[in-house]
Amino acid sequence: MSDDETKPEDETKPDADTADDAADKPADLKDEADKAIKEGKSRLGRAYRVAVDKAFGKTWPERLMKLPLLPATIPIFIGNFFKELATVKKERAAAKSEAESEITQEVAKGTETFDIAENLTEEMDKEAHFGPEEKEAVALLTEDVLEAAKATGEPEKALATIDRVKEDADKDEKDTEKLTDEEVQRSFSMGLFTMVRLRQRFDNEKDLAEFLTKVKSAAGKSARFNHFSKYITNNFKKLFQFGAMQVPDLLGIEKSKFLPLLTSEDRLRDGLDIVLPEIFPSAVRDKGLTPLRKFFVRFVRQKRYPDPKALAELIFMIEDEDDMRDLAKKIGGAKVVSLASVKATEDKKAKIKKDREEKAVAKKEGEKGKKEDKPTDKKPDHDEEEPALDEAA
Amino acid sequence: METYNENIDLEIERMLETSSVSPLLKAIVKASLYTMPYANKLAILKSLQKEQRKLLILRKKEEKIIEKYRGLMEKLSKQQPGA
Repeated sequence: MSDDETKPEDETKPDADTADDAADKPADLKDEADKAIKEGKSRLGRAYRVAVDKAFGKTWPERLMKLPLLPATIPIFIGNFFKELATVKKERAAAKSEAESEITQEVAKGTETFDIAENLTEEMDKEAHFGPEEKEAVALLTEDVLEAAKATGEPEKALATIDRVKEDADKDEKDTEKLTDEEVQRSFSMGLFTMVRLRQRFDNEKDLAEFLTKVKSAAGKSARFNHFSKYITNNFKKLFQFGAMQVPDLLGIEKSKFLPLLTSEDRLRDGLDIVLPEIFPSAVRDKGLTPLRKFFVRFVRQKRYPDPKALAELIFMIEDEDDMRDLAKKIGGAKVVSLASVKATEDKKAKIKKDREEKAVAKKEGEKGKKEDKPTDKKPDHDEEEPALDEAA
Repeated sequence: METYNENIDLEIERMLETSSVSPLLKAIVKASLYTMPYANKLAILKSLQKEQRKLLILRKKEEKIIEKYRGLMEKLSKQQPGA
């Protein structure tokens, strides 16, 4: 027995020496062992098979597990390990490079926008000669309010600023009613400036609306702040179109020529003729340019954007009467005059006047038949006219 | 995603700490945050978030590779004396 066991051991030694070859073709070895058994070389064949099983395992998984034991597979094993790690390292470097590139671009863009805005601010300050009141109003509508409210926990500061500026504006109401053309133009510049800053701050309506909602909820119930935020939200689309980068383009002029355009009343009106259809296309289509231009000049003349009436009027001009009524309902305590109702009253008066004139003509001509036809066309609103007809008859 | 309106600066600074971008760029970003428009800040924040996600995935991948080879090594070391 001991011979049986030792012999195969000895016989397998040469095979073990050529382990590399054996590792490459373990299946061949098995076949060879089977073949040997078949040919009657039972002892040698069995011994061969035992040796193969011992060296490489009885099953394939066992054999595979034993493979790395062979000297030639160890470097491959280590090589694969580092190769896989290197792939990860490469991907990490790519991620870093991509992030750096994107961030650098954004920083460059942000800085550029800031520079343009700063230059614009300086130039506008020079050209428009902003007084402290205008500057404060600009701050109210843009930086200070948004910045103050942005710092969570300080909405009171923002509201206090609004209240302070609003009180000052109320005090100066008499003066603002007597605005000169130059002051109107300054107000308009201020409006533009506000839009420029808002454009810088937010790049889409959703972000702005979300921000204002947060600020509003943080600030609690403040009707004035609600008006302000609603105004901004409702008109942001237009403000956005009226942004810093677009204004000179809309006017079709170079940036350096943009500011002098606002230095005379005529030029301001010319500028509005170009800009307004761009900002309020539907309003221009429905209402015409002149009323809108008049309205816009009046609106900027008021200088108080959170003013509910101005806000409601603006909504009316831009959207439709239902929107305006809806807004008027929401604005508690604000006396909102519907431009539509004013127009309807005027139309009614004009119709009554026209009817009277027609009746007067008919009376003069003495055509009774015509007089009988007229009342049937009349609307029940014109009750005042009935006695006159009877008298005439 | 657009929920960082109020604390976007802080959020960017926090993410920069764990970012793999160069220290110089980190310093530039921090310095320009004060004057940068919101839109650009948001874009930077999104880039940082994207980078963080990628890094997380790569870290997991790396751990998996190490784990795999550690297992093989252990098996090898157990089998080596008997071989």
